[in-house]
Amino acid sequence: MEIKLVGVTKRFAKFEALSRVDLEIKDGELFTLLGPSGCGKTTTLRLIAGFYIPNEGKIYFGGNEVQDIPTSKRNIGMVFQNYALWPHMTVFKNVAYGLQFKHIPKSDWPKLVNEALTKVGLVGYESRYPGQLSGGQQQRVALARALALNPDVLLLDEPLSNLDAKIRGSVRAEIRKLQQALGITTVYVTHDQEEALTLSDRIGIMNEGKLVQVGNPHELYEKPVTKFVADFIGTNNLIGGTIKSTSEGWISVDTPVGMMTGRSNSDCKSGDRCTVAVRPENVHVVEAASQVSFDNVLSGKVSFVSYMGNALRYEIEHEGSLMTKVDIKDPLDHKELAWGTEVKVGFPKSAALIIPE
Amino acid sequence: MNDRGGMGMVKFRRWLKVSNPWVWPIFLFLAFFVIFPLVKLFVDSFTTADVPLSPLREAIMTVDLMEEKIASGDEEEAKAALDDLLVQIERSETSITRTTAALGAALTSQQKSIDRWNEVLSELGVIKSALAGMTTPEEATGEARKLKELMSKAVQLPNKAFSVKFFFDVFKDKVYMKALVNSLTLGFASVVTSSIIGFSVAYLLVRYEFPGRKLFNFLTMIPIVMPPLVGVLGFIFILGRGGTVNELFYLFAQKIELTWPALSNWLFDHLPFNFVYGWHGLLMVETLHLFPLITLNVVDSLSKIDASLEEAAESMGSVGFKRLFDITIPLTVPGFVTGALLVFIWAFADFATPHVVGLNNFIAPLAFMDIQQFIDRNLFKMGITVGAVMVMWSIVFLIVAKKYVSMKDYSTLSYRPVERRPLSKGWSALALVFLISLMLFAFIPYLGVGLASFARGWSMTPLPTTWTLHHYKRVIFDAPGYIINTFNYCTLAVILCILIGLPIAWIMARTKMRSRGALDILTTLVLALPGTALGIAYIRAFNTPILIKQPLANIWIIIPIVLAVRRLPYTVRSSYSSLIVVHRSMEEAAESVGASVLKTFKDVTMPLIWKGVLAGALFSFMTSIQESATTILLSIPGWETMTVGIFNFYTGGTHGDAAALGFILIIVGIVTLYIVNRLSSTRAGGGFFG
Ligand SMILES: Nc1ncnc2c1ncn2[C@@H]1O[C@H](COP(=O)(O)OP(=O)(O)OP(=O)(O)O)[C@@H](O)[C@H]1O
Ligand SMILES: [Mg+2]
Repeated sequence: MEIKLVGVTKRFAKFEALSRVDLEIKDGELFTLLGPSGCGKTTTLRLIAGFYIPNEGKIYFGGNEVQDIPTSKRNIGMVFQNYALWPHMTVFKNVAYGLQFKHIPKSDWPKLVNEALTKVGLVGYESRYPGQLSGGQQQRVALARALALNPDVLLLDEPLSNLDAKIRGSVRAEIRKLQQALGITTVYVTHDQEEALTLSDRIGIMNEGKLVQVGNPHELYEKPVTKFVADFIGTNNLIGGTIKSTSEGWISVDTPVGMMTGRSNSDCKSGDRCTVAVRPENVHVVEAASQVSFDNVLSGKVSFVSYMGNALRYEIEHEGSLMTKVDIKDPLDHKELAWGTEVKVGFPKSAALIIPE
Repeated sequence: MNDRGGMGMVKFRRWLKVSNPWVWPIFLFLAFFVIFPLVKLFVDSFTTADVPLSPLREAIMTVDLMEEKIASGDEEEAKAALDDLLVQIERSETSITRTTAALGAALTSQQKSIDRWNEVLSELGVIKSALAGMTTPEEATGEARKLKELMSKAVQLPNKAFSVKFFFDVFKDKVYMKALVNSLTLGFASVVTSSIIGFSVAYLLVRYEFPGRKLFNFLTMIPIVMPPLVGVLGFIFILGRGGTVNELFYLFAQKIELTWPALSNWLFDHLPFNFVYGWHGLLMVETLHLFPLITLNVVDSLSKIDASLEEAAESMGSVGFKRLFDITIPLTVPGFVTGALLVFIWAFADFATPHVVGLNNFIAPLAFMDIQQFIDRNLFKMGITVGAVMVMWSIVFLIVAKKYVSMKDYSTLSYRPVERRPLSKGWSALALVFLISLMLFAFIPYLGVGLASFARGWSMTPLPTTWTLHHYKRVIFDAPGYIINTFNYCTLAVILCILIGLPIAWIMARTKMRSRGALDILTTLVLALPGTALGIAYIRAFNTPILIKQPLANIWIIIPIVLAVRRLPYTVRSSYSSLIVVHRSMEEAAESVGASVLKTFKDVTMPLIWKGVLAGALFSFMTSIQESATTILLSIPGWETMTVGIFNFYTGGTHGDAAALGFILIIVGIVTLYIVNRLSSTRAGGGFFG
């Protein structure tokens, strides 16, 4: 079932938590809402669930307007951040509870509950109370409870945030497999970009109540359309400047640390303020005395080196307190530069992305 | 050597840390003032009636006196002593006869002791008849010496034995059984009615927004302030046969005699209406008094339900009453059970209300009267046994409710409360009508007590006809002892409560000491003990001297102690829940920068919890000044409290004075409650009970 939000605005008293959000989620995809804390992810999810009613705009489920339909009639399954398992009911009862509202005869419940628990691999735990389960198991019961009703839409609000880092990875994979096997339209909320990038078909990046960019993980990483997205997804060196000229698709930018050249996915007019974004892995560093032939070169001084196992990261200080990060991907073949070494930093123009403001 | 000294120091420190000797005084206090009286109560109820042997001791003393007087040549006094001796011999005979009878009721045969007692009795008979023929003290000296010897031996004889007779007699006795059934019925019925009202109020207050909500948040707590006896009398003044309401009906009937004779006649035929006398009145009084206990506890549970638990149900299609009964109400069970237990115990152990509304034969008043009036030592024995039976019942209920009533480890402290929903105009009006009429009914006793306290001879009129401050003059200036004692005792009790309760709470919340379970059980048990039972237990335990010369029951300090014990659970619980909210890491942060444990407590913990602790202490104070069962049972002449005063004035026939004391109590209670309410950021209550 596809979900559509058109011009949805949600206010709490005077505070606008969500401003004119337009969003389309395709049938059967896993769509992730990603953004920093307080940006409105949960609010969006709760609007889709029906716990909030939008102040403006419309929400469609498969072409039907639903913003006036109560949650209980939307046929959704929801997994809450704290799981919200009812502590006074056993696992069986928790999972079976919703079946009565679908008018499913009681005799079928054990079979359906068993199916749901099989999906999450928790058969045999029926008679336990939530308090007797580990965090990961509780999380899976919550998932089973949401799936038992065979919902049209599965909504998950930071379902992994209460799990420890080790099992997070495996539960994440399980959720993804299950979702693909069932082909269920899923909206997933997280503020963990790694989670979002590995899990999602598409991601919507949110900031301050607005949907900033929607795309698949690749697009978001390669072609951020705003400085915020460039900064938020992965690590980026961001250098502010003004567009000087454009020729044959290459754009020249005047920055406090010299002229830079790069490409852009947007329209660029000379005179516009813009940001030059370049990923640390595309930047090279050599001693100041060396000869270099990069399109963009700036000089600086090594201010910090950190060894990250599969890479070596330099932090280079330039004039005007600009800092850049440089990743050396094969630290073994590299002779480490000492702190304080005068260096040149360079990158090809193909690696520089110009994002106008 | 030095090294070993150092080792010793380290060992000592470790020992201090592991065995925490500073908690021993607390355990000692609990052992002496909670466990010992209860054990003594059960031991006594499983013992044959202990007939007092005081006549025998008096006889010994009188012999000494007589000899003294003879020696000093005081013929007159010596003669009087001789006469006394004869009376005491007769009383001793009765005592011995009853002792042998009591020993006959022992489970194992006490024939040996009985035989020895009978020997004493026959020797006594011989001495008696010998003495009867003598006229001058001088010639009686010989026999008197024999008597003294005999009595000195007799008081050493065993006069008690294990017996189940009295314990099971209670269950065989129709009167006591009927009383027990009545009291249990009253307890359960009060729980049902208070729950319906208490839960509705709590739900309205927590889940909805309507004009005046905050005010009602406070007002609905007030009915717990209810002075004993006069509180019920307040109902009678207003709703009784000759009360304000019926008198108004009479006036109304007279007024319409000509214009609407039919109604007038009907009224005259049916007046006075019976609003209060009987079970319906009893239940009304208990409900209006006790529903706040349910409300307080349910409000606490209800506001701690995470919104997502209800939303999860809603997302599956569970709405309205279905969701209320499947999800919301079950989640309030812990708080509800605590409240229900308190309501039950309170109603079950109420010894004044049934009597005032004209119902007899409830278990608490029976026990109370047995103990109070000492009419017959057998009856007194019954009082003890009934006390034990009441304790047994509270333990039974506690075991049933234990899962919910014991202190909880709040697993989730961060929860998103369910948002209050504004009520529409119509529903708001309905809610207000419900709350206002509930409050009007609940405040009837205050109105009645207030009016009566300013009235001079009020009867057969809707309102008093002449007003006076005389009653206040009496209780404030003429007999100020009641008020002064109450304040002293209750203040002292609250201080004791904090001194003992705060460390207990700290142990429960912050340590892994093995005694935590025992402390939890003890404080919860005290919460569930009826005052009447504890009072009886104290009389039995402390009426003989222990360590000090005088029995503790004769020293005023017993009253602050029993008050402190009664209210200890409130202080422990409120301190505990305040402590739980202060996350351990805040204290660890202080310790990490070098603060000692005590310093951390003083600088970090205390500033964060004092409000909660103080609110709990004041709540204890508010309920202490109303305490009647224990204070009356343990009352010592010259050291009476206000509640004792109320009883004294009432039984002495001066209702106005009783009402004046009652009204002062009400005002102090309400003011204290107001401060409690301001102190606790959330609504007071949960902290005290849950
Ligand atoms: N019930 C509410 N009343 C008032 N403001 C609210 C309410 N719920 C959310 N907000 C505000 O709306 C904004 C968005 O909240 P939301 O819960 O959607 O954030 P989020 O993106 O889910 O953040 P997080 O990652 O921290 O969960 C926040 O600034 C929050 O303070
Ligand atoms: Mg959120």
